Amino acid sequence: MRHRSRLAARLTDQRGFGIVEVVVAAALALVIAGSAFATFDRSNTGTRTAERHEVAVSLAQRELERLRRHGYAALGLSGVPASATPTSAANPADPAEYVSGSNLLVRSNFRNRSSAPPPGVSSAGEPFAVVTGGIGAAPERVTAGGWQFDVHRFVTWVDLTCVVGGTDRCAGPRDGKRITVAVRPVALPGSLGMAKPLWATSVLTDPTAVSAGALPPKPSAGSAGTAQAFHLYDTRCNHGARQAIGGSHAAADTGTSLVCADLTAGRPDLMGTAATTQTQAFDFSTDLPVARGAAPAAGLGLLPPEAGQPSCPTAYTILRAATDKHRVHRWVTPAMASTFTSTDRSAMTLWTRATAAAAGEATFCVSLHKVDGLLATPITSVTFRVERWPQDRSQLAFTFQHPAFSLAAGQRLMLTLSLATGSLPAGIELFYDDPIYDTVLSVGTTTPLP
Amino acid sequence: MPIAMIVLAIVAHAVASAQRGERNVRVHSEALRAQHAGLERMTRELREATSFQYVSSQAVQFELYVRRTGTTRSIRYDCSSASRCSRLEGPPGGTPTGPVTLVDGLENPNVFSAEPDPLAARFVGIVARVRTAPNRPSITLRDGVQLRNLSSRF
Repeated sequence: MRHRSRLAARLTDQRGFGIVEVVVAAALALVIAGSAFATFDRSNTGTRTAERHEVAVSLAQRELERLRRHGYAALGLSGVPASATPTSAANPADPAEYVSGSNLLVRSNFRNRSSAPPPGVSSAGEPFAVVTGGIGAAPERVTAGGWQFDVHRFVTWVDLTCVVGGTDRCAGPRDGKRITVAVRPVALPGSLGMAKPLWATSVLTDPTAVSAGALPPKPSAGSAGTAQAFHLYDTRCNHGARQAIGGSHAAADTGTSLVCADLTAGRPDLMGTAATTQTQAFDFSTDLPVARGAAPAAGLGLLPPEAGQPSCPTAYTILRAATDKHRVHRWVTPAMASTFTSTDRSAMTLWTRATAAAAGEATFCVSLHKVDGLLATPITSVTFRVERWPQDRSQLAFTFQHPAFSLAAGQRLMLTLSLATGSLPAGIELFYDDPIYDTVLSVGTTTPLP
Repeated sequence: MPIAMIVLAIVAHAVASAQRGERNVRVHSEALRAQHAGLERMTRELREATSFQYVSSQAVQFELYVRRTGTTRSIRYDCSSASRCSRLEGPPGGTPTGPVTLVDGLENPNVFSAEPDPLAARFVGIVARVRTAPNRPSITLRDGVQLRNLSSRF
């Protein structure tokens, strides 16, 4: 009874809070909220720093691998990198601080410049390996995972000690090469600040150096030939070489004639051994009868066959040229000057995307023919099915086997590209005749062209 | 009292939100680590390849020597399925079997690239665009390997 009356009194009380109560509560609230938000902010910064570090590690590993592929002899810098004024021996901020004259100060702990060098390395560091046509000595700015990094690459000579029976078998000061990569995050506005660089190193030994008593390098089994690249051009085959592109144009009729000299007929385009240096982004199918979306339309549009038409068409009649020129596109090489002999393997590397960024499957068809005058003899027809054709401009490649063939002097090799039935209704776009977006037919051969 | 309750509610909400975020990040990080481990395995094995065949942007096949058993095995990485990269293994010349998923949630068809040429590959680039959860943006993992032990091509 007494409790009930006290509760009723509290509920009907009109006095409210005093100013002291309100101020104390507000201050308390501010302190709690402030510390909570500071904690969240620190946690968020920590997460993003860890994420950036992970990207830097991945980038450093990738750079090491990329440099290794130059091969031992060609691995080196084009010059001595620039040095920087040291800021802190305990925690240097710039990898260039480790450049001392023509040497790199190799340290066991690159976060501390005054730390000891690794065993076998002089405290004065290792001399830079400079070779003709080597890797650029200046750092390169790279964007990865939404972050920016300055990637410093160093290649130095390593003096190895390989004592066998009391004798150093690795004579001389240049027994191997050390690749050192430093990845330094770049501070961006509104992002994390500058951080100390991440270092990665790897040592390569001379693969041709064989010390006494060691087994010789495993002999290469050799290959069955080399790859002869034929770059696709936006040039008609009545020309003997690629012609500069003037601008966008309607799709060319390349499927009704094999006679390059006949300028009135639908002769194929040309493909040749030289890659283009003319950067362009022209549309080779301005009359493609499908919507190409908001993305800048460029390249050649290729549509799948109509219902009732055979899959993977390789030619069409003059009566259907207006529609089928969007379904078949052909390229030929210049007439061979001497006999060209292939192996049994070829590859197609193409830059492509789905028209209008449509999602779906497409089956790409490749046919090769030997062309002798008016006669086209089939060599092979293959298909390449992709469940999710790229929606962004991407490079796809595939190899295929075929019977080995020979082209006599005067004969041409013809490539036909088309789509199989059931491919994306709006088709695909093919990019070629560009230094970067270069679509190439590689033919294995024992007689590469000059 | 009401102000204290409001402050407590805000703090409780913030804590719950932070916990949810932390859980999401952990799940995402673990999934990413699993994909990365798959990619690492690919590069590690490819580096040991003694013969190599570039099949397509979605598949490569190679042979490697297994020191532990003293045998040569044929390995195929196949990423032609809509959303994963599988590893198949078998005797040289035989049909590789037993697919093991190495990368899941794959979105891109252009996983493997070969330099300087698919017919004469010396360097294999690997790109995997993976989505660890439906509501998260996809992440692109890149790696590459120099085929340093190559003694022959198929």
